[in-house]
Order: sequence, then C-alpha cells, then structure tokens
Amino acid sequence: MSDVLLSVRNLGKDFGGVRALSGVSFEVRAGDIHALIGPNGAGKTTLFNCATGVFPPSAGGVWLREHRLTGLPPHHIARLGVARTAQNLRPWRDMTVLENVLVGCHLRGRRGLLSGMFRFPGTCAEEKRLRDLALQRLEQVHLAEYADVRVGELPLGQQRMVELTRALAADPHLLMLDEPAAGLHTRETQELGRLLTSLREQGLTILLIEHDMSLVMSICDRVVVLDHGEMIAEGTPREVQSDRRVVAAYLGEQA
Amino acid sequence: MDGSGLPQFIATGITQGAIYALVAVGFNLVYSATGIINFAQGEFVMLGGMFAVTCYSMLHLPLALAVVLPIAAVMLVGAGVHYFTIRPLRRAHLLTLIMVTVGVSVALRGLAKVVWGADAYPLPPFSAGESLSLAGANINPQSLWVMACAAATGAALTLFLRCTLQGRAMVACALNRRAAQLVGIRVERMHMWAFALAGGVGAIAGSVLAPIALPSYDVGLALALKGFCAAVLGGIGSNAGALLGGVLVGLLESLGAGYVSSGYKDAFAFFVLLLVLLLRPSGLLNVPTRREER
Amino acid sequence: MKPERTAWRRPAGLTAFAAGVALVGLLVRNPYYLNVAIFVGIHALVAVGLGLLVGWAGQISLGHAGFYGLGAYASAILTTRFGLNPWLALLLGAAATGLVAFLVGKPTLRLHGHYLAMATLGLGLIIQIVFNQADRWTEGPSGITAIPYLYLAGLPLNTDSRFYFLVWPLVLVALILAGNLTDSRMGRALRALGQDEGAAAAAGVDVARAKLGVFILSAVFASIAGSLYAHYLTYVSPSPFGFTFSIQLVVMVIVGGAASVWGPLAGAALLTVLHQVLANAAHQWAFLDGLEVVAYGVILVLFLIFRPQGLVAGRRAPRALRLTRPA
Repeated sequence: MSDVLLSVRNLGKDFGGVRALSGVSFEVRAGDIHALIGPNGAGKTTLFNCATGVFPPSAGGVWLREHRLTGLPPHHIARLGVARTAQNLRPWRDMTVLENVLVGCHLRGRRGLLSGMFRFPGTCAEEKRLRDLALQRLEQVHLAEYADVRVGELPLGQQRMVELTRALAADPHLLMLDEPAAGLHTRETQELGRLLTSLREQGLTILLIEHDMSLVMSICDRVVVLDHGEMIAEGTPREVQSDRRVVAAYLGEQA
Repeated sequence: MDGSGLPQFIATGITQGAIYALVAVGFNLVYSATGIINFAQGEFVMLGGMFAVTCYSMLHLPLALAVVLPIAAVMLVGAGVHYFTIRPLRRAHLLTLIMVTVGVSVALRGLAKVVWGADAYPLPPFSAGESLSLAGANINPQSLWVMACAAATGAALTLFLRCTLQGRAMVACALNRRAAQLVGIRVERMHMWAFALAGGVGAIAGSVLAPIALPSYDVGLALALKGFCAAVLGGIGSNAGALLGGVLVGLLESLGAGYVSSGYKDAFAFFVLLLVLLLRPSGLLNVPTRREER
Repeated sequence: MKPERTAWRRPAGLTAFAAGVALVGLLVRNPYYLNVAIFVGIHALVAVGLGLLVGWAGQISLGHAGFYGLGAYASAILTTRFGLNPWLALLLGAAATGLVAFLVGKPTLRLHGHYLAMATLGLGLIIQIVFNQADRWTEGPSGITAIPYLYLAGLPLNTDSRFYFLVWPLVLVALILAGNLTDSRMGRALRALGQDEGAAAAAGVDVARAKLGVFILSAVFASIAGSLYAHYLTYVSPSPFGFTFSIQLVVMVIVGGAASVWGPLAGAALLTVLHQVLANAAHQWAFLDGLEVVAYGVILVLFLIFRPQGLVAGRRAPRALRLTRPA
C-alpha cells in the first residue's frame, strides 16, 4: 500500500507577484482517496491546474510515477492516465449526456478526422465499441435513461455526475475532482461518497478538493491542508482535524 | 537629392511605420480593456481621413478644424459601435464579438463607398515648408507630423492608462471583470470609452496620413492588417511595443518594396506576422499572452 | 433506445434531398436558373467545409476566398500551361491548398482564435496580390482564359445541365461526409473544443492538432470548389477571390447555421440568390451598387446578435454559437 502514484515536489506558483503556491510537497499513494482542503484562495485549484498542464508552475513540479507532468500539454497528461473535473461545472452543455461521455472516451479510440468522414473499415466497429463503453459507464451511475438529453437541460446534481462519468470514461489511473460535492444536496453527497469508495475498491486513486468536511472525514485516507499557498498539515483525517494550525486557518485566528 | 536609395527607404518606412503604430495603439486600447480584436480599427482610420477631407474640401472649414473635428466624430462612431453591437452581446463568446467587429468593418467600408464613391481625396499638408534633407533622404514636413502624432498619442495614452483614475479603472476591467464590478467600476461604460478612444486614435492616424496617402473607402483593410502585425510584433497590449512593432513593420515593408519587389509590398508584413506567431507569440517585448478565458 | 429512433432521419433527409436535386436538374431548362443553381452548389461546397471550422471548432477564417482561388488558379494553370488532366489538376490543387493551410494554421492555431482570423485575412489578401502580380503565371488582372472542360466518362461537361449533375452530387457527398464526421470521435472532439478548449484538452483531445486538421479540411473543400468554378466558367481572374467573397462565405455559414450540417447549404443558397437579386436590381437603380456589401455587414451583425444559431438550427446545434462565456 505504500506505492506512490503522484508526487508533488516543492511546487510554487506566482501570478504576477502574487504567490499562489509555495514549497508544497506531498505524495498520493496508489489506491488512496486523498483530499486537498483549505480556506478559499489557499491555492488548491492552482495546484490542480499546475498538475494538469493548464499553466506551468513557477517552481518545483508534479510527477506521476516516473513521468514529470508539469511542462507537458494537458492532453499528454490526460494520456498518461490523469482525468479531472473542474470546479465551475464544465460539461459540454450543448452536447447530449452520451456524447459527453463519448468525448471522455476520446483516448480509448484512435480514429481520426478522415476516418470519421469516410467511414473507413473499422470506424463503425470502433464507434460501436466506444458507445457500448460509454453506455456501460452511464448505467453504472444510473444515467443511461438520460443518454440523449442535452446536459444543459439536466439539474445541477446530474450535471456533476455526467462530468464525473466523463472523467471516469477515460479509464484513468488518477482521478482529480475539484469540489465534486459543491451544489449537491445531502443525499446526493452521500451517494457520491459511496461511488468514490467503490471506485477506490476497484483500484482507482482519487485526489479531491472538497469543502464538505463530513464527506472528507468519512471517505478520505489522507488529507493535505493548504493555507495561503503553503502546506500547513498532512495526515489522516483524524490527525488533521485536531491540528492546531488547521483549526486556526479555518477560524482565521492566530493559534 | 534623388529621393531613392537606403536613406529614403528608411525615412518612408519610419513614416509609414508611425501610422501602423497608431493603428496598433488603437488595437491595444480595445484589446486591453475588452479582450476583443477590433477588426473595424482600420475603418476608424479610413473614416478619420474621409471626414477630414470632407470637412476641408466640401465644407470649406479651416484645416485645423477639419483635422480636429473628425477625431470627435470618429470617437462617436467608436462609442456607437460599442453601444449598438458589442454591448447587446456582452455575455457572448469572444470570437462572436470579434466576428461582430468584422461585420461592422464590412458595413462601414460599404457605407463609405456609397457616400464617397471609389475616389481618393486630397488634403493639404498641415504645415507648408520645404522638405528637409537628412543624410540623403527627403523628409517632408508631413512625415514629421506623422511621427510626432504617433509618439505623442502613444505617450499620452500610456500616461492616461497608468496615471489617471479613469485609465486605471479601464485596465482593471480587463484584468478582472468581476473584481472591477465589485469595486464599483462600471465595466460597460469603460468598454465604451475604450472603443471611443480607439476611434479617436484611428481618426488621428487617418487625418495625419491623409496628406501623404490620399484616403479612399478601401484603405482600412490593409491598415488594420499591418497595424495588427505591428501590435503582435511588439507584444499585443503594450503601447511601447506598438511603436516599436509599427516602425519595424514600416521599415521592412519599405525596404522590401525598394529592394525586393514593390508589387508584393503588402505581403511582407504578413510573413512577419506568421514568423512572430511561430517563434515568439508574446511579441518582442514579451508581453504574456492573455488567458483564453475571461 | 433513442439513438435508433433518430438514426433514420439523416438518410431520409439525404434521399429526399437527392431526389429534389435530380428533379430540379431534369425539369429546369432555363439556363439562367441553372447557372444560379450551379453557383449555389459550388458555394455550398465551400460553405459546408467552412461550417465545420466555424460551427464546430469555433474558429473564424476570413480568407476562404483565397483557398477557393488557389484551387481555381491551380486548375487553370496546370491544365492550360502543362496540359494536365483536369481531374489530376483538381487533386494537385487541393493538395497544394491543404499545404498552404497547414503552413498558416500550424503557428496560428496554437493560439487564441483571433490570430487565425487575422492570419487568414492576411493570407486572403496576399493570395489575391499574387494572382495580380505573378503575371508570368497568372496573366495578371486580365486572368487565364480557355481552361478546358472537365470530362466525365468521355463526356465533356460543357453545358449547364451537365455541370449541374457534377456539382450537386458532389454537394450531396460533402453533406454525407460532414454528417458522418458529426457522429464520429473527432467530430465530437471538435464540438467539445469549440465549446470549451480547456475541458477538451483535459479529456485528452489534442486541441491544436484537431483544429489544424479541420482547418486544412475546410481549405481543401474550398479548393475543390474553386477548381470546379474554373472548369465551369473556363476563365479565372483575380477579382472574385477577394475579401468580399470571404465575408460572403462567412455570412453564408452564420446565416444558414454554422453548427448544423444543412445550415451552410441553406446559407449558400440564400446568399447566392440575394447576390443575384441585388446585382440585377443594381442594373436599374445604380445607388444599390455599393449597398450589397453594407448588407453583408449588417446581416452578419444582426444574425450574431439576434439569431446566432442561424436559420437551420439543427438538432445538435448549440442554442447559440457558444453564446455564453465560460465562467
């Protein structure tokens, strides 16, 4: 269980003089659900963006096993087996649920532009394989009946599930979720928790940013706490919960 | 004075480059405030020139007035463009907005053809006087006017954006629209001012250029393209970059026309644009490219 | 499941369309109407390709008249100067145009969309300058005459009705190809990146490469249409391949509906007919002459503001051309 999947080493990021991250180092073990928490503006999403190639860090780097992620373009990082969802919901609202998940399956197909146009031999077979995969994923999350509905027409909770399913469709090694429970009501959050734990049992590693502490405390194996771009604590949920600096950061007073 | 050869090419290039710099400054204004590349910027220059010649030779106004009035008029056009076409689309994707400015530019050019026909109109130079000769180049007084106007406008705008409350508010809108709103800046009004000022800068370029290159309805397109090359070459958003980029594009074009081929004069700027985009999209002054989302 | 329910719609539509095309071709004898119909078809070929670029990938090209012209001049020069088989010339022209698109697209498509718009605007202007200046090859402003007809199965396509039956089946093929692409892996990737490049990249789509591919594709469509134009009129000159036609093409795509397969076809029909009507009216009322261009600008702006999805919204079309900004 001590196999390290993702390591963040001395990561720093400046935005025009404003320090968003500095000297953050931690490791995510394979098969863990690892949470990244901290007050607003602590640099959590910045860390995600550095790790997935949205922008380069100012210092340090992020490694997936032996691959250095930082510096690679986002689609290369996706190809290495990192899938992510975004904080502000970003499914393709004008595409159907099935199509969204099919885009998630992009890396599992190989057919290009010309194949798509001319339906070269094998194109239809691949298309059918991808569709089956996507539908199978949708059935797992009980969304198959909405396959042909435009995502924009679904309620928020289901849109989140579509985005999660889309990320899962790539069959990633590491799933990075940015506030997956935001905007969900209690029952939906509990369902999300159950889904994430079952994904862990299937061997998936998950790194999530989350504000819902009851979710974090109930499903996570380890927690990293950021405040003002620095890592102030790391440990099991229980250890972190009782850390004085964490309490201070959240309550906004000097310990 | 033979008026040809290297010194003359350089003088012509710098004069022409100053105009491109002014167009580039116009691009920068709208771009830094709104993120839009305003394809109608060249049309603002054309309108400035056309209004100036109309005021002078048809309404028989004194030259000074005929040069200053168009500035106000095109500022109004710029504000109108924002009010009627950009503002209704304030929630739209940037590319939609850019396409709207393309439509506006086409419509303005078409209207100019309807109003003024296909002819080019003359305007006398701002000040009489002999051409200066400097190291073998003939520099006419109007060229000096062009260079002075470009430098002064660039400097004035930079001062305005850095040192006045209005200017800083404009920059703030571009950097973070929501934050600007939160501190009470009226973003839409700032955008309108950006378009108006871009119109004003365009008109300055148009009327100061008119005595050298007679304005006609169709000059805007090439000016917009070269102004954009200048802006990208210098680093889009930076006025110092615009001046540098403008002069470089002007020089390259003048030298290319002189030594390589005058027929392909308009092509040189474009190859520069492609090279810059390929090698250094942030421009010579290395302005960081804007985040795509806004 | 629902996918099966809608799956028959496209074949049915295409069959009806093919029947309509055949009917018009057999019944219409008036050469003027046939001439207009042929131009609608040629323009539709360009517009369908441009629609893929604008409507799906969300990129703007203001230089497609240049690609169209490259195809036309390639065919003209290769057949008149080198006596090449017209079909071979058409293919070579398409390949050369694709190469030009690659060279321009490669540096620009990594960047934000407005760079492509400006670069293609420049490219279009340059191509027209070359047509005018390189008179050793292009005969300058007077243009190239006596371009041979195309032959199909030994039959010269030298009448309007014969040419009609070349152009419109090709339009049908273009529609089928575009429709196929919609339901393919890369088609979905393109639509995804058109809505949100960052999210598409995170899903593993090589955004720059996908955009480059569809840009080249749309240039090749335009080039093929240009070759057809050259062999139809048997004469080319620089003037039709200018900025105004590029704008006309963009207006066709936006007015028709960029994000649907049928939209660009509808737009091509409307704009081509509008152009004819205005040109005829301008013979009677001279003041209308300049207003045509104004109309294009105004139509473009009005559609973008009030009906960005175009006339034919299509079942997959976004409700607007990416109407809302990513938050």
